[in-house]
Amino acid sequence: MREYCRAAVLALVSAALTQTAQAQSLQHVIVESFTLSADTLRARAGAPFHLLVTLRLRGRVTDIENLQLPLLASLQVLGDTRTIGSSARGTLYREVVTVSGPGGTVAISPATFDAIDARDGKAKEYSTNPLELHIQPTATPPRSLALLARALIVGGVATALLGLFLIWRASRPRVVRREPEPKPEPERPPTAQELLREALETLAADPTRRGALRARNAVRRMVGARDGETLADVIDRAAQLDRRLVIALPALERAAFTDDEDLAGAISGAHEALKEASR
Amino acid sequence: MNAKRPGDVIVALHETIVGQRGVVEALLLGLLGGGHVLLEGPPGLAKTLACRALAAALEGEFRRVQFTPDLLPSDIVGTRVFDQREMRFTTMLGPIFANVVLADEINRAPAKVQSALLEAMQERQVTIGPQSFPLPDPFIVMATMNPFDTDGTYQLPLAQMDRFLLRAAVGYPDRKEELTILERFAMSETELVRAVASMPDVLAWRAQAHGVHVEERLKRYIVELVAVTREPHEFIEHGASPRATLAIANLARAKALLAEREYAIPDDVRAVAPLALRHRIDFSYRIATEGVSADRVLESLIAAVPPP
Repeated sequence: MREYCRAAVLALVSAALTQTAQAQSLQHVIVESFTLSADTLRARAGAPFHLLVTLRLRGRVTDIENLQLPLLASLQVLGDTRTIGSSARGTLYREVVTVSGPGGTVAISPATFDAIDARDGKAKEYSTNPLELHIQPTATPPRSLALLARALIVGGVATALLGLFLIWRASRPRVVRREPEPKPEPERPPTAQELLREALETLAADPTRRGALRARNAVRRMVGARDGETLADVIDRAAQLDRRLVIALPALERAAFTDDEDLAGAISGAHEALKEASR
Repeated sequence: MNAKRPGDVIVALHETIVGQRGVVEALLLGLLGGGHVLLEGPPGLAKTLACRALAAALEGEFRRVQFTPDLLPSDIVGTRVFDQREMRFTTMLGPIFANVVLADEINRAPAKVQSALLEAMQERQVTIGPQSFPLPDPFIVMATMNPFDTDGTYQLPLAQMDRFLLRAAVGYPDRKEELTILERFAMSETELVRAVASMPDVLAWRAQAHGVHVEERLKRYIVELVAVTREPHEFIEHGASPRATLAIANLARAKALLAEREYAIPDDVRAVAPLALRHRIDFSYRIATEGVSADRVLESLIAAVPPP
């Protein structure tokens, strides 16, 4: 609980700092994209996961100012890492916030970035997309089972102590070797099928151009598309690409770029192609 | 969709032209985009044959004009002559009155001849004496330039180059293609392709290409591609004009139509951008002195703009 209060206080301090930042001069930049995502949409209660804020700017920028993270009061903030890299192709700023939370649905408001658009000289507030996460609660065993488990543990410990004592007696002065403690299982990255299903669910939940673009981005990420790569690059490079994905990718491209009259048909086509690919 | 497809013309052209896929596609893109094409390459690379074959595939009228230093504007557009039997002036229309006109080695003629041709290309009509004559529709000029043999040539100014919808570089065939050329043409006369479409088909395709959808984010991508050529660059004096923006959009639509799509995608734009931009950018002299390839510079500029 103390951690949640700490997070809320951090967010309030962050909001107060925003006011100060606005009073200062804003950066002149050209924002190409600004997104908020999570490394999983199926987090488990208490298990850490990551929120990722990505800001792409044109040109070389060495520092990012006036970027406000969303209010994370309902989550426990465990850590925060920022990286910034720039090349001739532009600047990429990433902020990874490690969080965990209780079970239930968590709605995260957009992150914001105040800057002056270098193209028209106007001060703007850029926002990411909002995010909704479903954190699965951990199952609690029934009380009778818990009592039984406790009795078994106590009995087991007593038996183990007795056994140890007997072994010690029998084999003195031999040293009893301790087994290494098992390491906690690392967080499993989502599989291709899970990402495909995620794209499918995104398109089903939001059958609009925006939803189609999000599904397209999810599938492009899944096949390892790099920034600046077009559909032809992805298909050419991934020679081992599943034939069903070779059908799904152009279908998503159609949904992303066709005219409004054809959009419903294109989204339906992309949905079918994704369904086929996720089988 | 029209029953005859633009792709049929490409297939037909490849029955005569060996290799040169980029050039054949560029000719079709120019035809569908309603613009004129500049072909740059050494002699003997089937530039003339490609233009003749295109005219034959479309049942169109083809004329070739060899540009020379002593050529006059009237040699292209036509002139008025006095008919002594009729005792009146009659108009002799020049070779420009054709559907497909090949202006061979356009940079060998002086500026006044070049501008006479380029004005006709722009206005799509010619005025001889007191009378104006509309050029046939469709009307496409394919001009060639030899980049190696520059003695006795007149460089086309940037403003005139801008009137060409696209510029395509014609390269040498590879060994396999050259072997095919040897087998196909060494012993016999070159046979032109059969007609696979007609001029009304071309007009219908152009209307279809005009209706191809270009999404808002794709339009912004096009604008960014042109804008990046105007940013300060060590090898660029002047960037491309807004005509380049229109040209890229037109060519992307044509490219989408060739792929039988009714919407353009980022691949279309990225593929046609070098064709529309290369001749519209004023590269600095340092390109020549430092041995830098203009194509490479353009490639890096295009790569610097992330597609949507």
